[in-house]
Amino acid sequence: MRRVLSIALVGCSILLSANGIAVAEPNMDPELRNKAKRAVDKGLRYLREHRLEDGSWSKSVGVTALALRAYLQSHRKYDESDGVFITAPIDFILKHVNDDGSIGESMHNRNYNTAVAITALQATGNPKYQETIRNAQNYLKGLQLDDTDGYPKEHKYFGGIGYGGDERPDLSNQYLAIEALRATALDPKDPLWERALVFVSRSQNNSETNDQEWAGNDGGFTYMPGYSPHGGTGSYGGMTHAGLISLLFAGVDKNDPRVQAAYKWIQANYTLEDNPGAKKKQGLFYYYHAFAKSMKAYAEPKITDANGVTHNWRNDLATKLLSVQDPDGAWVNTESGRWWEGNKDLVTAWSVIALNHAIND
Amino acid sequence: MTWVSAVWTRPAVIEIGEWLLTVLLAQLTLMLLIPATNPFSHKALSIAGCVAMIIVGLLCRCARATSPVPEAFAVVTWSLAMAAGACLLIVINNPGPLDAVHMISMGTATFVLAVAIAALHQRLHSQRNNNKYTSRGYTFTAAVVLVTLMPLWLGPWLDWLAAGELTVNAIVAASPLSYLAVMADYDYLRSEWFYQHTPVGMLRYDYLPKLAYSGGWLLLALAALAVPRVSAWVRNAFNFYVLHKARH
Repeated sequence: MRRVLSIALVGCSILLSANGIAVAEPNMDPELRNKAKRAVDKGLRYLREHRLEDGSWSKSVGVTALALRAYLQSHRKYDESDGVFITAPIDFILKHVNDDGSIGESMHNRNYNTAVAITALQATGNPKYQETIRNAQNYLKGLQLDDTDGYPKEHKYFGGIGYGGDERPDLSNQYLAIEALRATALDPKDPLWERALVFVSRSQNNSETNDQEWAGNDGGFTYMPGYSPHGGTGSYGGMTHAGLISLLFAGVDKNDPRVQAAYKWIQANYTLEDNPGAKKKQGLFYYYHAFAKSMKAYAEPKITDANGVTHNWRNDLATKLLSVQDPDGAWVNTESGRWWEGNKDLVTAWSVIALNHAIND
Repeated sequence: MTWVSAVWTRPAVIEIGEWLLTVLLAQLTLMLLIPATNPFSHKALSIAGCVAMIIVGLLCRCARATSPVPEAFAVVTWSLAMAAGACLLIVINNPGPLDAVHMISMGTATFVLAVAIAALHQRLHSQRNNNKYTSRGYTFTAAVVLVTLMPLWLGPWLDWLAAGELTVNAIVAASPLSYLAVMADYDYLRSEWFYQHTPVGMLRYDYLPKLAYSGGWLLLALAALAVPRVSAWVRNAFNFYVLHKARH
């Protein structure tokens, strides 16, 4: 029966091609897709074995929310009916909802934790979390710095969101907040978006659209206006993908010069061997995670690099992540522990989410 | 003019004058170290004010060779003065409306820290060789500054050695800055200046809860104050034992 179906399918394809109707090329090599699915299963198994008694991973709301998202958005399409491995992390997250709407286990990382928590709660599709999500949205909106916080539009902090509380904003936290607010369907007419774009634009090395004196012209993004942890004000991979996601999720058109400049930087620096522009292997898995999300959001299955070579980003990303997966199913950055990349739970969750973006068309 | 000089020479007036001078010097230090176009939030400025008050206060304390009052009382009154000075600096440097809860938190934290630091400092006073009291005091102040800035100068090493979470947490917890930051509800290690000057903000760390910090610093203060009493008690008990044995 299978053979008959295969022959019929091939026959149909030949007929369609002969009639000039293009047959869509698959976004990802089917064999690689299957391997990637198996890698996701192994990663999820690792996470399942390392979940703590309280339902969390690493006793962190942020890591727990990311691991939960990895399950919910995987090709297995898990949901709350699948059992305690989904409901226990949700309970852990809900136990850490604070009176001000934020979600987190400690005084710091409140933006990060709240943003990834509501993104995961939204991914459950369960309407009973909507009130928590709305309150958290309001909390995130309150973190954005503007005139009322003493930062007028001319200030480099204007429109930015930081780790939470009173700290300086940065593009990394900004993109997570933007992603969360977009995923939870914040009104596109909300003034937050316009203010957010001021900060995002000021983090780009694109003097045409960035009014800051330090701005270069390579089109990439840096950590915050005028500063990169990898030296000077240089652009680097993790932040350029975070910047591209921020622009697209904030409603900027794909043909906007800021988007085009960022995409050109990505083309010119296309690699999955390291986080381009970063020191050593710092922030490598953050880069893979952001890379998958921005490439998916940009919605081009292929990308042409500076040498004119065309790449299928899904294939490249999956091949790379498969090659660095540990035998136990986990991923970890063995060369740099900065930004928690020595934490296997976090890095495995990021890697699974990245593969989910590649696998799911 | 006699009554004027009589007033000016009263110990209480001298103490108040010295306190005002300390506040003034602390404010000048802040103005010197923080540029006019400072990127610091009011919470960061509050923390800086508390630190400046304690360090400048400690230097002024070192300059005085002796203290005429009993040590526990001296420690508490000095600490109260430092807390009051810190609150005054917060008022001076915060252009916005005053937040009473924030003021009380910062005043309390400054008091607790000052008690612990002054109690330790007092120990130098009870050491032999009193003529070295002042120089030892300056060394002690330098040590306090070094411990305060530990996340800054140890940060690159923690990053390079890929230190575990426990080590990073211990370093963060030991700095008085962390206590002040927790009381101010401010993640100072991720503030712009610290983030750019130490990689600790890029590593995994956690602050202790407010109560644990306050309890820890108070315990340290009590231990420092109790040392002479405990050592005297042990010495007396030992002498009594030796005497008792000699008689029999």
